[in-house]
Amino acid sequence: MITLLAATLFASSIIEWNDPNAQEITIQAIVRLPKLGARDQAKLQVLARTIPKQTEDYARREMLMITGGAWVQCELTSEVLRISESVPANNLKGGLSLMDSFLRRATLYQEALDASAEQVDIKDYWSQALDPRVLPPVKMQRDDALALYHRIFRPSTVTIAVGGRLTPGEATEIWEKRMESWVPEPLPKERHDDSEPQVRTTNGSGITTIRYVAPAIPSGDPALSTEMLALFALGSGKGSSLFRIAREKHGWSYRQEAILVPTLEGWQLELLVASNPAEGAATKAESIKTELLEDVKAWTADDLNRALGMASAVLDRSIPFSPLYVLGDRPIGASLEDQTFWAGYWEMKTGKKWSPIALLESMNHVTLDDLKDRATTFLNGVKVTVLPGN
Amino acid sequence: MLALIACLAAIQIPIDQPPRLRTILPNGAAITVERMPGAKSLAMQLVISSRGTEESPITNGLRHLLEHIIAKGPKGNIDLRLEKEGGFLTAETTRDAMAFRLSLPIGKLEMGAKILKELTQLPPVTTDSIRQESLILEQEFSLLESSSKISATAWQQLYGDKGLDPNGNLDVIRNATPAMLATLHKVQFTGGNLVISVAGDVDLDVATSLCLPIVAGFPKSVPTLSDRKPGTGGQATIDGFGIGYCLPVPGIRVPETAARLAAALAIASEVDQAYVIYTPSALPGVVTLGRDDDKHGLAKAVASAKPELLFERGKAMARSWILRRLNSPDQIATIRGILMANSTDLKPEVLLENINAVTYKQFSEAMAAFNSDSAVVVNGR
Repeated sequence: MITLLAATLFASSIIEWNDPNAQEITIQAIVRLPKLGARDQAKLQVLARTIPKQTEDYARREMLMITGGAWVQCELTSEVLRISESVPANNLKGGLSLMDSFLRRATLYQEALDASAEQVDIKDYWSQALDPRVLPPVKMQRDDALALYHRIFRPSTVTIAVGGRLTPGEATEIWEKRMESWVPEPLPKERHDDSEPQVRTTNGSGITTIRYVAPAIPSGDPALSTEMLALFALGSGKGSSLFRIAREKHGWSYRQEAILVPTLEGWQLELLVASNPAEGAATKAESIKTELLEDVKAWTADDLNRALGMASAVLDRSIPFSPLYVLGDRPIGASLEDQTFWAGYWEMKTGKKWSPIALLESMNHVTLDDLKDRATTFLNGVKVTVLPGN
Repeated sequence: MLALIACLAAIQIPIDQPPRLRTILPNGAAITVERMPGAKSLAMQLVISSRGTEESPITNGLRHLLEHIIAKGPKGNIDLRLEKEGGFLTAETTRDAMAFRLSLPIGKLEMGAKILKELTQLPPVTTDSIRQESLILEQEFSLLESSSKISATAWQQLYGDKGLDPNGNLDVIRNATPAMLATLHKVQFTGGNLVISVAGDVDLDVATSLCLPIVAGFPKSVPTLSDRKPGTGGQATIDGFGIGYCLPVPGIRVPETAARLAAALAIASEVDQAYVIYTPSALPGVVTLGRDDDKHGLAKAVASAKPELLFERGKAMARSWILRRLNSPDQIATIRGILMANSTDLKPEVLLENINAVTYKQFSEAMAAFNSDSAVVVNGR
């Protein structure tokens, strides 16, 4: 009885995302992370590379048989770990069994951990700017890896999102049945690691990046829709202020975007500009900010309507150049995997079902004055970080 | 905005029509419309074949510059108008074609047709506007990824001047004149070079008739398929990261292309973070199998790949690779548009059929080719 109660209270949750045109089924595990120190963050990176390699139930080739040859991805952000798999439309059961195995029975053999620890991720200019952490090199013993694995992967931290042409309720029923037997290992004794990672001071890709970061806003902040709309107006799309100033007017940049990054507590709004490494990046950074402030003063109803149009294109149709950077170094796209992940992620983060229409309706009440006010406050409050290319 | 939200919630009535309609105009221009009931997006694309304007050392990059200039529109306001309505424009220049791609909300067919019409026009060009655009192109070049550099290097090694990188040469771009761009525009915009590709929840006849006036007025031209023949493989280096194994392929009508694509995808599946690049074309091209780091991982996989273990997986992955390009209106319009610009009767299903027909012998030969003198091996730092 106690086990049953615990399973009910701390069960992983599952959402279904129906797409009648989908050719495949995608299964996404979204694992919420605790606050981790620098060494544990580095270890988690090794763990994330190792988990998809093998489980107690499935060798690599068997996994590929289940997925029809598609790779299983395991990605990390500062807030969640995501395991993503796609399976043929007739193999929902096999896919859920595989995902269950990743979450509970990854083998994490020493040889695989060593290979993952040696793996070098080449981060491009954009990734280095968005994630400037420099994590220490780590070598992990299997016991250590298993302890971290069981600390992170628990029923209460996992949200499953299943997308595709689904029979409503089928995935939920299969998953909940599987989860009945998941009694998590006792939490390992907490070691206190509050070390902060080092932060890079140059962009090793050779490209200079300029990042404008506003203070984070809490997850349930009612002003989120206004803040987001101001972000769209400032930096999303080719009619945005940032595009017109940094690219069209000065020719300083080919890529410049508005970015919405999730944090453990809420959301962080940013603008990011990439530029070839000419002299004077710091001066350019200040100049862009000053010109953006001037531009905002001159915004008209056209700018408001353009921001609303971009918001609808991004939130409802997931066009490219979305600011929704909840996957680390890339935004949510239009693929079934990304859309399913986003639906599960949004529900996990906000406790509400994802509804682009609801968010767009609340944006529709933003006035031009509100928009200008928010954008001005954003620009006045940003911290500017220049990572010179070298 | 209320209208926009209403539009999002609207559902078009299903129409009893075939899935797609292809129309060839007397001047050689082509229109393809694909009906996708229930699709949330409408994709409308203008694709202009590079026939007659292929890259050469003295023109390398002019098409790319022209693409940037055309995309602004005759009055410089296309992006603002589109984005206010929830639409978006992207543009691309490849070796085979230049493409302008509109992603629109459903119900914006007329607006899309109007904007595609504007994109057939050459906006006012001055030496100042060329200089300004050169600055932006310089910025674009500095952001090129290693995978693009690997692929471009292999193309040039295999096809010489016929494989020049369509991104272009900055010196050529900086020295461009308004007259050069006007001439290029005139040669490029002839009937036989033009394709309009539409995909979404649309009526085939309505969409076709709206698109007809966009391309009907251009002078007639008869498409002749240009050709390129691959040379030999070898070693090359780039200023970038990683390693690439690049094989020439003869075009999607030839089974060898399907076999080499399947082999590349199968080998990639043996190595974490490996990638495969291939742009479907009727013409000879390149399949690139690459990885951004850890050269030994990919080299080992190429050397030790066992066709008997990878044959079925390779074919399944190749099928999935092409089917994933037929999922959304944007993807469908893109692949159909680019293939029709090659040859009006060419379609992605040809590649799918060839993938299904790949034999074990073809697959194992393709796999061995990655480890042979036919391959260009491009090394980064």
